[in-house]
Amino acid sequence: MKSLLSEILGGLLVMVVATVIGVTVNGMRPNGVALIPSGAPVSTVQHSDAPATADTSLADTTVAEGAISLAEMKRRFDAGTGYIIDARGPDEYQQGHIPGAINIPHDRIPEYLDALNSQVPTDGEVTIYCRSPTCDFSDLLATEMKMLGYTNVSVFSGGWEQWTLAGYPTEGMVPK
Amino acid sequence: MDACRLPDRRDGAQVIGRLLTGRGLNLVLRLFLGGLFVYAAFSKVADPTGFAMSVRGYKIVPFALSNLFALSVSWTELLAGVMLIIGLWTRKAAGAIAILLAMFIAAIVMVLVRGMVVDCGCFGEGGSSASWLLIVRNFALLTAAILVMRYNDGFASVHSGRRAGRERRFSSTS
Repeated sequence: MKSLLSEILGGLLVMVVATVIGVTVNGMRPNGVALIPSGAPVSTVQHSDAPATADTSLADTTVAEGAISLAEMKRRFDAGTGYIIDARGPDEYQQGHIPGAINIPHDRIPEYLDALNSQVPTDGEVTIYCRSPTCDFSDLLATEMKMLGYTNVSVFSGGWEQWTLAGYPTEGMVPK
Repeated sequence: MDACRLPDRRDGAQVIGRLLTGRGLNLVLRLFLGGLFVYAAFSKVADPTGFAMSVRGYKIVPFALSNLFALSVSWTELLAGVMLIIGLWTRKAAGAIAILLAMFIAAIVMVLVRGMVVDCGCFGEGGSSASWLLIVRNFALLTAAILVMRYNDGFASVHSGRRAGRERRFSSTS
């Protein structure tokens, strides 16, 4: 198997050389990426099996850093001055979303980048939500948006589940 | 393929064996893999940010290494693809492709097993989601890469690192 080893090692060498070339070229480009991305990933997902609650007093105390409670989400929605982003897929968004929310699917950010740039200023108050406290789409989107330069990004960790349980306004679904 | 490479009417398995390891198929696979990976690398190299997002979406590579990993993968695809097309250290280039494909398969399996929805990142931004079908496709490509890696004889190559024609595995002349 000696030649197999040499082919694998040779393959690794090709990867190393390619990496060196790539890093060099990247450093010379205006749209190059930072070798080590700044910041840290947003992580607000709660992994407990506690059911979503519409009890706002409980919701106020259990959110993680970078996240906002149901009460705060409602306040922002009523104020109407910020930007609400739905990180779920387009199908879920169409079935029902928080009124005024913009759909930016977490796994298709590059496709929606133009929409994001044109509709949301980087210093705007951004609130991202997805399905539920255990859904991490909003965390993923929040992480990427912060890296893109958005300075005021929060996650409504209760998500669609908590919002609808509380009976708050929705858009897109057939009204009950 | 020229007729003198076929054995004297031996069983079907041997014929298939020679076809699979033969020069003609190898050349076709080599050019196909090379072209495919140069094409795949294109938008990733052009938009490294987008591809780095796909890498982070898998949540396998540590966050701090995600950009470097994205650069490494995309440029390996490009370099190895070009090397395969022109026939430069062909087997090593195929080895690099095989390593990448093995990694992709493992990553897609991990993501599917966890039930995650992830942008595949296969041809740059938002083309499709990681899926079982993708695993099948990657296995097929991996097979092709292994065939090139193991049986390429340096035919029609710039410099394969191996004396062309002289060290073929199934030499029909003696």
